[in-house]
Amino acid sequence: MMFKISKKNFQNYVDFLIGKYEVWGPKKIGSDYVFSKLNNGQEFEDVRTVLSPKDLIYPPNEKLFEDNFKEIIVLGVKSCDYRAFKMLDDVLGIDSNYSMRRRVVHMFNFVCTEPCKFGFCTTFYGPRLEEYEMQFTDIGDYYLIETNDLRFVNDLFEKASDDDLKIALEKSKNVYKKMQKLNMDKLSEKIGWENPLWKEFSQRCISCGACNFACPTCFCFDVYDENDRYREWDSCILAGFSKLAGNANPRPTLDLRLRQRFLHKLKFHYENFNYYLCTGCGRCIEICPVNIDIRDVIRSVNP
Amino acid sequence: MEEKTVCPYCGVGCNVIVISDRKRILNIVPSKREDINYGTLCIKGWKGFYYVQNDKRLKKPLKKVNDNFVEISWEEAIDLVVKNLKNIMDKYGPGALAFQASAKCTNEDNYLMQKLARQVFHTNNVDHCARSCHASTIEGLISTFGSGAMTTSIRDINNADLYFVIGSNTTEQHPIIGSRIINNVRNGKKLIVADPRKIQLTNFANIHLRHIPGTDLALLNSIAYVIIDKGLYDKKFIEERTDGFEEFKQIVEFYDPDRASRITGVEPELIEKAAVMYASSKSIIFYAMGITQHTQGTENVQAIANLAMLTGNVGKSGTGVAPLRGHNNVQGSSDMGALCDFLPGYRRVYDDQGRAIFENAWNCKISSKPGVSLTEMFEYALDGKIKGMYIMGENPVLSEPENDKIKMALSKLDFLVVQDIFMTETAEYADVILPAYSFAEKLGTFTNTERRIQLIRPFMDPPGNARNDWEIFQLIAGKMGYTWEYKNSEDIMNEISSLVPQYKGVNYKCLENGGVQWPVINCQSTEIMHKEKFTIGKGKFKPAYWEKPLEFYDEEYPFILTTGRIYYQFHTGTMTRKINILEREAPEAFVEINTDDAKSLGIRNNEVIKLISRHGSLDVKARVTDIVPRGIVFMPFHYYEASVNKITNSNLDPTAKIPELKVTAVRIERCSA
Ligand code: SF4
Ligand code: SF4
Ligand code: SF4
Repeated sequence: MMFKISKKNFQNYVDFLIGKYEVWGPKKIGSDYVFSKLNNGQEFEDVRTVLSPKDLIYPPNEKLFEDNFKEIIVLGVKSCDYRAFKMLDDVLGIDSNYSMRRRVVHMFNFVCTEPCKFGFCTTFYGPRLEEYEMQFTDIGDYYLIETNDLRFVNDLFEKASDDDLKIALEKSKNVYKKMQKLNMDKLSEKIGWENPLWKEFSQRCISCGACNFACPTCFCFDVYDENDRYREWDSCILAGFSKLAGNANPRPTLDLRLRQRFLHKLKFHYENFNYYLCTGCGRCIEICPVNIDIRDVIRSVNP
Repeated sequence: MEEKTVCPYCGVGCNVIVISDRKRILNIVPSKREDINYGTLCIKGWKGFYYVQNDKRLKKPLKKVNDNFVEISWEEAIDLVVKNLKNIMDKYGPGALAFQASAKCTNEDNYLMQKLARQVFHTNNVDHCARSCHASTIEGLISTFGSGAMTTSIRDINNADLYFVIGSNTTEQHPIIGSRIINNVRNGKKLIVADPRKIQLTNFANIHLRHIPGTDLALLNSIAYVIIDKGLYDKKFIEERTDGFEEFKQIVEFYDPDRASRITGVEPELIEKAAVMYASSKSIIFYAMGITQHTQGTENVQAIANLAMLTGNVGKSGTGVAPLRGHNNVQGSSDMGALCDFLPGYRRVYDDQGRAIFENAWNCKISSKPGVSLTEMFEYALDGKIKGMYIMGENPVLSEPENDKIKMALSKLDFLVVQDIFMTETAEYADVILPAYSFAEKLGTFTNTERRIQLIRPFMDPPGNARNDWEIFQLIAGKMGYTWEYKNSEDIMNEISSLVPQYKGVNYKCLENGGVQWPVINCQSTEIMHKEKFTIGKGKFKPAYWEKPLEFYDEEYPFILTTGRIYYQFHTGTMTRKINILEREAPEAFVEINTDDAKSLGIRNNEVIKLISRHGSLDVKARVTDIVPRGIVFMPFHYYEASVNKITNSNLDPTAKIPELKVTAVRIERCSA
């Protein structure tokens, strides 16, 4: 179903949601945008945040065996980040904490009309999605709203016309026009174990783990005990990730660990699930302190 | 909720936004500000904050009863502390007390602790870990430039054409400065690394000088020799802006590359190449403990300052001298005068004018005699000259050389109070333990390595009955009859900014938007220091001859042991060793030994070997590697299980009183042999 809401009313809509739910969205803290709880509609800005909202469904560090799942609504999610949850579902779907939160955390994606700096989402799903809870597109004085879920529909919504949809399509096409689409042709078959990039990257990678933490599709975790049992995000770049008893390690050097990260995304996951474990959000590129770039890996196979 | 704050680990001072529900951290987000961490963090930033919510946090004051600790009320704790410290002071004089401040705590905390020592307990015996890391920087740069801090800014790194990194494993200890250097070098800038170890930066170095630990001064003098010899020095700069060039020239004349090569083990051609490269570019020199932790630490720092002046590489954009400060706030705690020989703002205690300012402000007399330094406090305690000690947030049992001596010293005290966030190896020896806030519960300021005073903001509720460090000092002062009336940490900053020239006029409002770099003028940063003239006026060349370290390799002890930190751990591990992933990555001590040395001694990788020095011995796993050259072994100091500081020497730099942790002569034996 299609609606639209004027930008003026949109703030009131956010206030309405805040009256009924806990609402999160991009918020400006100092000079940065982070997902945080919104106190009123005015605080909302449709700006790409430093990190994806992965943490709201899959926290960086959580106590296990503890039920504190509350219904929240997250506004201003970028489509690349949103699309990633569909992939996480295939892996973490059987996890009770993950699947509970997946049910009660509602993410509304906002379609980009300008490309972001490092993103390459048009290589995969692009800024407009086929599946969503509520998809918002900025069409000037209005947001176009696409949804099949009537729970969040409100009196402030107006009927949208086909012309409105046309504008929305046109606006998102801008991203396709300006963003370079990478050639993924048979990449999973062509990409080899050997690639001079692994060594090159390993010279400068500082093992910060950020590429994993910032990735909306990375799902690996570690579990530890400290009175209670906790689970935290892990990083395959770290040696301890693959360390076995007696200090044996199948990936003893950094180049092999970097290879694992890229091959998992671009080969192994594809072989298992028939899609690349990447939405082209560009977050790992942006967050890497030393500019290690997954696009270079893709281009090294398919120039 | 979300709060902007600063990473509590290294001196880079990365800005972070923490999302929390005040009981637990929900997420950590790096700030994208370009002038510091450009949206990135190292692993300690990403993973290292979670200790603040650890259940082992101290929640109640404790006192020791028959070797066990029992919980007591704050009233009783403060009474006990005051009664005992006062007794010692009355009986033996103020000199029998000693205070240790902390580079992990805020400027406000440190300022009040040294005020407590000086005003309330009438002693200059207050010091902190800057003594063991950058005391020689303070002396070395004050005597040459007039100011003991990084002359340039993190952002300005991008404007240089060459980086000369000596004695700093930057990608591990200041990772987000290390990564900035790497990015610039990949963009065509040049890099010279001087380090005995093959550290990560050497992957990108145009020149790697692998000198023997403890020979830095000979190396630096030789570089100066070449620059003078080839006429590559900046005559105009030297003439207009410096004094003492002639004397400098005479001394470095002694260090032609051939001679220096025999001392340092570096080929003369490499020294020459490095000298030419450094002198012909806009260059910044970075250094850290590899330079400072020597008996000639002060001279090493001066030699670096000399090089910068010689080539005019200071006081301009893209140039400078950059001591990398290890702790989040070791710059600030030094600025605050938590030093036995300096009052806040680096006024020497024997400077009558400087002292008068504080005597008036605090309405007390301050001794003109420097107090006892951190390293010496333990000697004094062993000799029975110091009877009472107050330690805030430091763990000298692991961090100071000759651990066993430190333990003995602590046991000998009549009274020890430790104020910390966790039980530590040092707190075990305390009579009273006071539970303090961590950075996560505090409002206050840290000053990073580029002199930037930054606000930290509370994002967690304090555990149990823990208290803010400065509030505890205020309670003690009150009980001692001094009414301090600080309502909050900002009141303290207001006092600081009225007394410390570098912090003049600073208030929390002007720190709101990203902080300011001292010397602060009208709430504005000084990004690059010594622009028109040096703080001291004319820069002073301070040349010195290289002297062999008091301990060097010989027949009996043929190896040099050098110590340091590793990426995943921080200092004595009070924080990092409680973090699952950090501990997983680096769970145990090791000693790096060169492959050929290992072969000739018959040592296998992972085999436990014995390191024996003149001060003790320890067993530790060997890590056979080519990171270290032959004849040199390296060991991190984080681990109580194999504390390298059991066997390091405590020879001091006579000026800065910094111990020579980077050079200890050892021999190696196989345990099974
Ligand atoms: S990759 Fe960039 S342009 Fe594409 S959806 Fe994500 S944020 Fe928008
Ligand atoms: S973000 Fe970059 S530096 Fe950090 S672990 Fe990933 S590849 Fe390495
Ligand atoms: S570089 Fe330093 S300040 Fe930045 S995250 Fe790492 S430890 Fe913290």
